[in-house]
Amino acid sequence: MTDATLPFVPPLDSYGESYLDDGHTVMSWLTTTDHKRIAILYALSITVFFFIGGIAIGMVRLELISPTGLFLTSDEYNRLFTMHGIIMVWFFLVPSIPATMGNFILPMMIGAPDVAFPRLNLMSWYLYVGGAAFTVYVLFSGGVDTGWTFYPPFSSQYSHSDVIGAAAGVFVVGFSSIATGINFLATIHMLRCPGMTWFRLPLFAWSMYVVSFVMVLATPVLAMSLLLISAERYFGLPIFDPSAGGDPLLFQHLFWFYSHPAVYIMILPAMGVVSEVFACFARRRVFGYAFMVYSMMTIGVIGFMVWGHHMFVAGQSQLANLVFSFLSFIVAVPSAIKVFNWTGTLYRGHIGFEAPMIYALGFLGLFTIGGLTGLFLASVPIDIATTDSYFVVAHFHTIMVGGSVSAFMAGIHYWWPKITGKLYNEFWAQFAAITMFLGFNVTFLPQFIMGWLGMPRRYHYYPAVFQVWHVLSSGGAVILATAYLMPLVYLTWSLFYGEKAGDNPWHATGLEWQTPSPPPRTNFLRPPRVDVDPYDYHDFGRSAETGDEAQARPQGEPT
Amino acid sequence: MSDTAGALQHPWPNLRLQREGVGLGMWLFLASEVLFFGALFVGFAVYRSFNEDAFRIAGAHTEIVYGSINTALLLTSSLTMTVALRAATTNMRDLTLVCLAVTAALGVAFLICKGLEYREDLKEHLFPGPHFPLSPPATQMFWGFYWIMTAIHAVHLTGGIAVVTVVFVLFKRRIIPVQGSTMEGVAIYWHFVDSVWLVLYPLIYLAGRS
Amino acid sequence: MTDPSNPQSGARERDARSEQAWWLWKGPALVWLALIVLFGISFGVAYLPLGGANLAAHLAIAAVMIVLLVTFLMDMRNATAIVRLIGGAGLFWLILMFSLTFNDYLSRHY
Repeated sequence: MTDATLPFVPPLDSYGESYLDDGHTVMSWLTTTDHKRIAILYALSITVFFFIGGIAIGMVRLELISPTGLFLTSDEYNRLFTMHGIIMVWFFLVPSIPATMGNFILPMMIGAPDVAFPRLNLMSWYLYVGGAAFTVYVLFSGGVDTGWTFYPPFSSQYSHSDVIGAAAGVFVVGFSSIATGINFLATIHMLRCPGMTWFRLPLFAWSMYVVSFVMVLATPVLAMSLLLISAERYFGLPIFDPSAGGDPLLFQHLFWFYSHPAVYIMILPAMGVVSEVFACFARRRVFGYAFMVYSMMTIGVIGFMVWGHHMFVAGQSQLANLVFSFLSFIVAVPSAIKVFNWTGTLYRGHIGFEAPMIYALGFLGLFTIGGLTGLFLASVPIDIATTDSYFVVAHFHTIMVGGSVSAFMAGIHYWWPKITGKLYNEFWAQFAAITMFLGFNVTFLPQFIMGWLGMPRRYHYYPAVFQVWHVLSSGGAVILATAYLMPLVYLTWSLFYGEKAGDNPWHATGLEWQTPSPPPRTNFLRPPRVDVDPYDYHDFGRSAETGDEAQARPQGEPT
Repeated sequence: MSDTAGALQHPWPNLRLQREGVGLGMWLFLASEVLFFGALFVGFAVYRSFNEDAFRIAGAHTEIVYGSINTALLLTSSLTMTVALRAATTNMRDLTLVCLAVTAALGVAFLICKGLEYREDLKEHLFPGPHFPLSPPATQMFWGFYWIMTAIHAVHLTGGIAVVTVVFVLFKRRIIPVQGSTMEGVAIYWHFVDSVWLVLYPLIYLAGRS
Repeated sequence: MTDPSNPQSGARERDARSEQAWWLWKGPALVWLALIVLFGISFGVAYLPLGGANLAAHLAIAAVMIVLLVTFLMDMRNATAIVRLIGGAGLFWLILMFSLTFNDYLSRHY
């Protein structure tokens, strides 16, 4: 289908009633097929895991204050940073934006009454819970010590921890993201409302489209690599065993075939969110919309071809190093286009510094730093010097935490009034956003420096010269933790005491804002129809001369 | 003309689009599955390219009779599955049910053959480990892949049989009508499991026969 | 739909039905026959001493069989553009995985 022409008629009895009032029992939530409720289920579960993963790394940072450790054995230390990695990557970051905001907002954004397969959507949450159950079991059975990357032969032959349990958790949760991906792709293809052509899709919808493709095509390879590890460990099949002609590097190939695109699974949705936020709070049309779309697609595709830059020193061939290094440089081009276009969107905009915008601006700066240090690491000679150092750790945390988590917070604050119908306290939100940006930099800038000076990652004990950087970094982690805890308080507070938000508190143009907050069960009171391109704010910004505070033109309206 | 009213699910506006959507969803899942098995095939290809002789020696010890019977069974089951789908879309309920039953039966026959084959293999101690009868050591690699590939395929087939059985019961009891969108997805999945076997068969059974 | 008071119309209905049944079986049966023949050829080729060409022949035949199966039995020939695109994407990414992995393995000199 090139153009969507789907009329739909919501059942009469759902008129006007918010999705929150569509049953109040626990069972009405656990058996719901409403994409909005499933989004909330996801949001609650990933929040729990975010803080479990945070506690794990909090203990690690505390331990690292002293060069010889404070209170952990080396074995415990290994298990803590491994659990931090596994939980943060697969149980927070990968599902974070797609499964919560994607689930909630995407169908509304394209004017659909629900996702294409509502029951599959619920099943994907249960798969998440199943994978989470394995992981919690592993937490209580003593953890796992391989690092989140599960490299053999350590994971397959030597580790004494519960590798199979952890692998099973990741295996199962992988199918939850495949299910989500399939659902979103079918939704975007089949259920766009009349007039919502491909190039009228808001960029967040585009980011969900691309990320779903990446999820569907990358995740199965991770599943297989974990299956092979488990088969070797449990049944003794010599898959990666050099004594039977096996090659441990094959695992790395398969693992990174997923896990590098996984970085794009984490960052593409973030790009989608900040595109919405920048346009709205700069009161500006997104600069270079088509280029934004094409660059996301390019990132999605090229992102699959760069995995070997994780293996520059692992023993792959010189030619492979060269090819992967080249392709890694290539993928920086579309990313740079996006940064340029966001900046172009801000240019001459009438910028408001509401909390979502502060988070998004934080994203812009940190993503740029993370991206540029990524170029260092794409270059073979520099990577050889910095492999497995804190420089690498700081680089990917800048992308995944500085980038994705900032954008996650931006999205939560941006859509909170729509999701809950309440306004949060703006002052505390702005304060938390600024604290998070500062806390992040105090945590990770020292890591860049000590990594550059040669501090290796994952080491429990370290030379005393690095202590000052470690102490700084741990101090920053405390600030960061505070910044993460604050929203928990003021957002919860707003649920009970917050002001009513109204349908469109930000005067945004997206279709999701043209319906009551919180939305009714079928999202819209009357079927929406789209007439114009997205982001019809002001061509040259909400300029000071005209004092133009008028509402932007909505992308569509009810028929 | 027929009882399609119960077939339409939320949030689809009509049955044609729903059927298209289910087909689309299943194809997406299969694209995912292609990469799932693809990872396995990459591993096999890498190791075979480095241990050609060992893989030939090891391949000669597989049970070609069982393998070939199973290929024929699966190809035939794809035939009956196609007819089941065509019968369902033209609302020939009885033919749909018969074909589904035959398909499931052929699938079960495949699994029984597979079980007998596994018994033979184990009798010859062809499971990688300290007392593996073949040499050089890389023959164990072939057999490692043999067990993983056939087992994963069998799991997929078992899933297929389970789904076909459930769908059969739902059709039989008229809980869902045959011309809904269900058959579309079931049929595509079944053919996919068949086509994976078409790759496994030459890799496992035909290597090292000449 | 059949009018019980008119036996002739019932007979016509049955004729139409059996014709339809023939239509249902004909195409798939032909494809099935082709697949079985190809399977037989592949089986026979296995016992010819062709050296390295054995595997190539087997994989080529398997590829033809899969193309037949996908085109006719999975009905790719009547599929929408997006379904073709998805099938193509699966294949493309598979090739990507093979080529970049072998880019490493085939250029190792140790």
